[in-house]
Amino acid sequence: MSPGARFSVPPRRGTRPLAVALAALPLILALAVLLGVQPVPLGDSLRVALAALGLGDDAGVPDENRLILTLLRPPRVAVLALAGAALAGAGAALQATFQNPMADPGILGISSGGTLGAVLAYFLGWGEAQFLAVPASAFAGAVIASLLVYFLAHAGGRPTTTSLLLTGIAVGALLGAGSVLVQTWVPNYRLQEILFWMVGGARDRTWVHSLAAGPPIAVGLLGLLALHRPMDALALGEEHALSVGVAVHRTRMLLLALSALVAGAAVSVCGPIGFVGLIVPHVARLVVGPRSRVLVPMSVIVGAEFLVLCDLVARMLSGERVVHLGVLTAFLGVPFFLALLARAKRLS
Amino acid sequence: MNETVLEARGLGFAVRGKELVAGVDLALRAGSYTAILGPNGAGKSTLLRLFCGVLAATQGAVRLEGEPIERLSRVRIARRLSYLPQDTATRFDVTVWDAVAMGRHPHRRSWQTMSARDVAVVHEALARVDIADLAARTLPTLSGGERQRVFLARALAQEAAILVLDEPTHALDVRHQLELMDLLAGLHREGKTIVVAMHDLDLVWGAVPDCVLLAAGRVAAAGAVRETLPSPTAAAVFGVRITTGAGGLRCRRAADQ
Repeated sequence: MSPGARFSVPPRRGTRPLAVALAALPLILALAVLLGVQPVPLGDSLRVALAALGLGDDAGVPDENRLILTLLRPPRVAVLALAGAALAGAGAALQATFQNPMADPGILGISSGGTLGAVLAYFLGWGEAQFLAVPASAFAGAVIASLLVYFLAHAGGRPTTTSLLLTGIAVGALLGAGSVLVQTWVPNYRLQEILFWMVGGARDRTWVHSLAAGPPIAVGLLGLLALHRPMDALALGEEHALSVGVAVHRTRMLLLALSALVAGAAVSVCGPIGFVGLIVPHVARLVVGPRSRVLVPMSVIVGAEFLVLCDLVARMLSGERVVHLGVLTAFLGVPFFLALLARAKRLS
Repeated sequence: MNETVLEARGLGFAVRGKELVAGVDLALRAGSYTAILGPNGAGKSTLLRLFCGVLAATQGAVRLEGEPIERLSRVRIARRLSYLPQDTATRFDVTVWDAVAMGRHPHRRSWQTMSARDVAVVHEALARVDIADLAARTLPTLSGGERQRVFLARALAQEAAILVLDEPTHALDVRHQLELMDLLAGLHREGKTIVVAMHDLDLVWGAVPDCVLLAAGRVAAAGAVRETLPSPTAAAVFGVRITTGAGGLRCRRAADQ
């Protein structure tokens, strides 16, 4: 073989859609801040934005509009972008890790562990007593649930992919039953808060929520991205991955831990929002293909955009009756996903 | 005499008390070409998995180039030994190029992109197994035989000195079976050490110099194919009558005359 021989890599899908998605992200975030039930004149928005950058004065903007543009919408949009990115990024990693297109952050018991943590916090009255007590308790629940899955799956030796998945599902069911049990003990006046938490959303979130969830999500997503090649090797099958030099068990556990960190942080600030972690990676894969180097960033960006847009639609639709984000992600995401799937089948 | 590169001492593997492989002592020399033969369930695939460290031995040990295999990292093993498992199914739309390029993983750092040499090695591997025209296709759109060749190309792209192949001809049509045997013979001439589990004795007869005959997880016979296969031991292991002549190897049911 002559190393100097000129060969080229065949053209691959992915780079252009990734650039388009990245370019759309600031536009979607801006749109989500500018639009809402309460109309705010564009001039006010521009003045507040420039003032935030130290480039002008927003003295003429009514206080109500300034409040909406600084303290209400941006923190909500930020926390949703973070959560969407986290859930979709973790979903993409888990689907490769388990070689299973049905895997999502729910299967590790993260969602049900987070929910139990939050429900316990409401039951004990921490929600009213301590700011961030519910997210902290939810995060602890998510982490404990994934540790439980890890240790139970390892009882009696190294688990196979299937036994790990089944352990996750079993632990999830157990913790779900635990949540229901605690809810039956919770006083009626707190039940609605729990219900709102369980459908997922970002009402009344502040910058503190983003600051708390941001670092674990950023560290976890960077870690997942660094493992893009072992992830691709795992998607080919366990023995192929071993053969090309991937320490399969260690890599899989690392991927699970990073996914649990990322998804646990997302669930702790936004509740167990369904479908994002399952559907967004699929949509991303249909567009950019299965290479994790492109798929993970694409899922992260599209996940952020999808959740922010869903929340915008939910806000616009909400009148007297509130349409909750977690409901809308399913209502919008599922038909879109099924349409894409049908199109992919026709094209293949 | 070439040095021993892959060695098994008292090698055994048991699941819930059932021995799948037991008491295997083997020493494979550098540049040797050995077929692992035996009827279904004889332990061929298990033995290969033990050789590659994919399974951990429950008895005895495997040494790769003199070092206990369990002490070597997967990357170090992958640089010296390339393993082609039987299962080639995948659920994701991975392209042929990307699957073969995965063979370069043990030679690249985490963030390193493919070097010109990596790209050239992948092209060479695709060409050697006659799938250069499939490079842009995705694995689920290929036939079983085509996928088998893709993963063989992946194993070649690893550029390891030792190739361990589990039934590489099992999904191939007759032309590609013969071409694969020619390819392995070529690799052997280039100095590669090859261990291949096979069930087609006829393909082995003309092509592979040495063999190990497994029966119920134990070595029943080992040596040159030309001496081992016509022996009464081989006939007993397979439960057939084996005759040789100008036309090659012929197997008949033991009851047939």
